[in-house]
Amino acid sequence: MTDSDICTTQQAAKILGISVTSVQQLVESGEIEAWKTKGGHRRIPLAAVHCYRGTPAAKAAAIATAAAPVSTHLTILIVEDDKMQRMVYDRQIRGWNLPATLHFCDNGYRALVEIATQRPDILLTDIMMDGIDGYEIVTTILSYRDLAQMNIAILSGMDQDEITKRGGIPDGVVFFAKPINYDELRGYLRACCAQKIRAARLA
Amino acid sequence: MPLPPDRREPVPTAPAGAAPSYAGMQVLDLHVLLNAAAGDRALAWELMTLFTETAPQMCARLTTAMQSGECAASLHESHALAGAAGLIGATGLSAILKQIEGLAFQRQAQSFASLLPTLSHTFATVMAAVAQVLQDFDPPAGMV
Repeated sequence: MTDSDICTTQQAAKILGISVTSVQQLVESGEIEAWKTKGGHRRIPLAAVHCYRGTPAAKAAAIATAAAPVSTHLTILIVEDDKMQRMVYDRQIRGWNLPATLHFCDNGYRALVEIATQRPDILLTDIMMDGIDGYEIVTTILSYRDLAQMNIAILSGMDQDEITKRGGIPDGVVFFAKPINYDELRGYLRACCAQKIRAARLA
Repeated sequence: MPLPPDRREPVPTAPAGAAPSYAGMQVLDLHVLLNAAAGDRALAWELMTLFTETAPQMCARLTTAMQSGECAASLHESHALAGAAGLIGATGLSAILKQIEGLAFQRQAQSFASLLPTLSHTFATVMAAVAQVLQDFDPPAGMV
């Protein structure tokens, strides 16, 4: 067998019209013959790909993949107890024409329910709120592996001493000081949206 | 329509009796407000109106908390009012409130008393300035 008789999972996915993840699953389940290199990369004989391509299961999978549009519309959850600030966020962020829908929560309890049920792509939260505050929301999210893909930013007017006393900003969480620099926030949200859409297309 | 873009000067300056550190600050910087509102004058008007409706109660609760030496309540109320004041461009008031917030965080309730007159005076000046802006100009079309 020469190199031209072998393909990668990405090439197999393209040939079969399904996602890379689906090819990986087919390989793992033994439906498509393959092996792994020393570096852990899957190598698939083209003959095995074409053999699978002729099966009814492959045709059904390709049709399903083609029918399912890639989700390029994201959700942004904003947790802010101040009505004036919510109005400002709403006006600013809607004006940026992001491929995203905005949701607002005015307290931490509602936010946790929303996060559990709606799984927003991006979370922007204030810190100091009555009841469950922003820190508790963030630490709760960080403790769940299946929420690891969520982009999280804290937007607060708290000064550095207070933030430090509360343990600082957790790793992987972005901080925006109030008054918000909206150019910076727009850049952050645009980058988050672009990254999410790219990831969705590759999934 | 309120808040013309070149309206830089008419806003009142800080009161003569204010603490020196805030004396140079504008009572109301409408450009800060318009920037927060993304240039949307109707929203700027709405924010100022909302401020006049909610801020007096917030300031009253803060004053009570400070007079009682309650640091947690003072921290919460000063933080909330500082955010609202900052949004409408009341930078001097916001700075005073940030100072109170810092003292409350450090549990220095004994320092509250010295700031109460400045807070009261500056807050009254801001409220008067906001009322003046709202009164001097017609509300945006479709509002009120």
